[in-house]
Amino acid sequence: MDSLYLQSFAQIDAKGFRLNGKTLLPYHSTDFLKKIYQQQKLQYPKFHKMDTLCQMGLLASEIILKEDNLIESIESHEIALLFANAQSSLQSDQTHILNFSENQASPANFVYTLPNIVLGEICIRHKLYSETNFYIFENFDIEKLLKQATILLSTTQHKMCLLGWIDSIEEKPNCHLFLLNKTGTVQATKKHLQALI
Amino acid sequence: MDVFAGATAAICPLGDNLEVIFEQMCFGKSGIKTSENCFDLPGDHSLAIMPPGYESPMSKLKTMLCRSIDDSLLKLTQPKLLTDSNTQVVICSTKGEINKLSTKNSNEAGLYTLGNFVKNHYKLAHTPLIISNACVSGISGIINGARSLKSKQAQNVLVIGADLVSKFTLSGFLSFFATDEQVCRPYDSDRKGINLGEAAACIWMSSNAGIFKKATAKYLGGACVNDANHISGPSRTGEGLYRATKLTLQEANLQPQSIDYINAHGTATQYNDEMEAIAFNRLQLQNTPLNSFKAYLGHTLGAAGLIESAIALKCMENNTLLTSLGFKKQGTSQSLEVITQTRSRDIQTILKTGSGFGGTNAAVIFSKNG
Amino acid sequence: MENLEEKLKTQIITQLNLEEVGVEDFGNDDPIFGDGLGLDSIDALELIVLLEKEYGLKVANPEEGGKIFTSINTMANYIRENTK
Repeated sequence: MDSLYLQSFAQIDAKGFRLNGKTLLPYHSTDFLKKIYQQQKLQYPKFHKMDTLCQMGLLASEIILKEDNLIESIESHEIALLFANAQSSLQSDQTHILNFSENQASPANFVYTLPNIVLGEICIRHKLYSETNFYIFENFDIEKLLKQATILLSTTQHKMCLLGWIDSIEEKPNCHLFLLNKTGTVQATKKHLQALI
Repeated sequence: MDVFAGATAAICPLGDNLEVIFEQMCFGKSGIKTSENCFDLPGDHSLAIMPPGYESPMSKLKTMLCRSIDDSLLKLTQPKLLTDSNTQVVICSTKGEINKLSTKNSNEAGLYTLGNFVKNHYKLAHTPLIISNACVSGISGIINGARSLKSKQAQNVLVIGADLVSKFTLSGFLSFFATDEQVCRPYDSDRKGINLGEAAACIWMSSNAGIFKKATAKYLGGACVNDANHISGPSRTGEGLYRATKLTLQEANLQPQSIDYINAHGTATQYNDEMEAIAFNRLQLQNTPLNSFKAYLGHTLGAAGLIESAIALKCMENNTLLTSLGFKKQGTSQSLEVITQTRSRDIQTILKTGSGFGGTNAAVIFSKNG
Repeated sequence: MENLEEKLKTQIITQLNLEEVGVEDFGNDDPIFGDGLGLDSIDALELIVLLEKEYGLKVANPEEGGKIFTSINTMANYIRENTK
């Protein structure tokens, strides 16, 4: 396979909540993720139990997969999920350390001390029986992410890949999800994706 | 394109190298020990923890990583391959050196620091790819590695897995009531949960059999599928494991009856083992000899897929089926051919599977080379 | 003084992050793990954490928890019986 194509993309960061570059909700410094949830009328109470990584992943994937009823038109095993970040599940890790230092480890928090849980939450939400991989990169590196997506789509039966960088540093969201397809019109080059961040 | 696997190496409480570990397992020895109040957590805990002596001059995990890498290099025709620009290193871990994390510092414990350490220590040409996919990380690493070869992104891949036992992980699994105070009993009717373990292990993969002094195996296929069920509870129908194994059989172009031996995940929790029994029955694999290594090694989390694959490859090389330690009486609603006695058997093809939090399931198939 | 049953409802809502549930959604005799609240196995374990944190009560195994957490009433009775 020579190239991948960008179908759509969603972002949650200091610029706001955006779909395909268009701002749906400007950034708020407090309860931003909850505000997106309310704006999108999600009605998924599990959302409130999730850690920040999962909340970001759920919201950004929701808007991509629901756009033009995409999720209705594809098979549950056709869309792979490849996410990466630098901090793994740092926020939940530190909460767990506080909890067990007080002899009160919380199972509901502990389960989020694995970075790949966000992929599970998205699969559960949309009933996706597909491949999920979580990578750790020191820095947000579009080229490395694209390389993994290219390898996956050229060696498996998946038709699409939701590729993402998802981190939260000092509670600031930094989530960029790209839906890549084997066919399309807009080539997903490093340069192009870089310009969208 | 053929993908060859070999130059396997491992270190865990059973031994400092894979050959010793395999020999101990043939004698039915377990690396799990029961003691009180480990990490100041009250009660009895059965864990597979390295004996003292691995903490300097480097940290324990780094010592373990280096020993297993160094050992694997001895099994290559050209140890310099590690620094070759056509070689990719993949590191699989759930929590790395999480024992170094406090609520104040975060840099030392980051998983990418392990990648940077290996890169600098061995002067690698590329930064290692780090995979953190819960308890299937190791199998995911093997699959990712094989695909790098198939898509010609690399000519050789070294896949490494490493995880420690820490207060962090033990307190978490205790809060899930998911541990057995005694040595764990995979698939048994009295199973009560997991024992945590620590290990590091390596497998080299290459499109060129010539890199190995002895090319043990061929990688025939692998797949990873989410079961979309629950973040900590496996699917009651085994859907993810069923699909992952089915895709793997398809890629390997094999029927279920061609599999001679299954090294499954078998964590000894009620739900995991039951889920596996359902999935393997759906796959018509219920009569294939199967075992779990968890009562020998403990659950080594991100390293599990690698150390268990490395040992399963040893079993294939030696035509040996190891008894599934801890198993006495069938404890799953559907039957499995759990191995109850270590014995010889001609093994040509093996299936290795794993499942983990976040709904991940993965499978790989290897066959004997030549 | 607020009665124990009402206090428990508030504590459960906080402990389990049930943002879209109000105390009025709990009947004292309604099954806690019925369809109504959409709770799962992790929530059951979190209720064990709640009992220890708020009432100093240690539940030895999750099966025991199953009986205690049948309804708000069974939970409140368990707390009354086991705290002086």
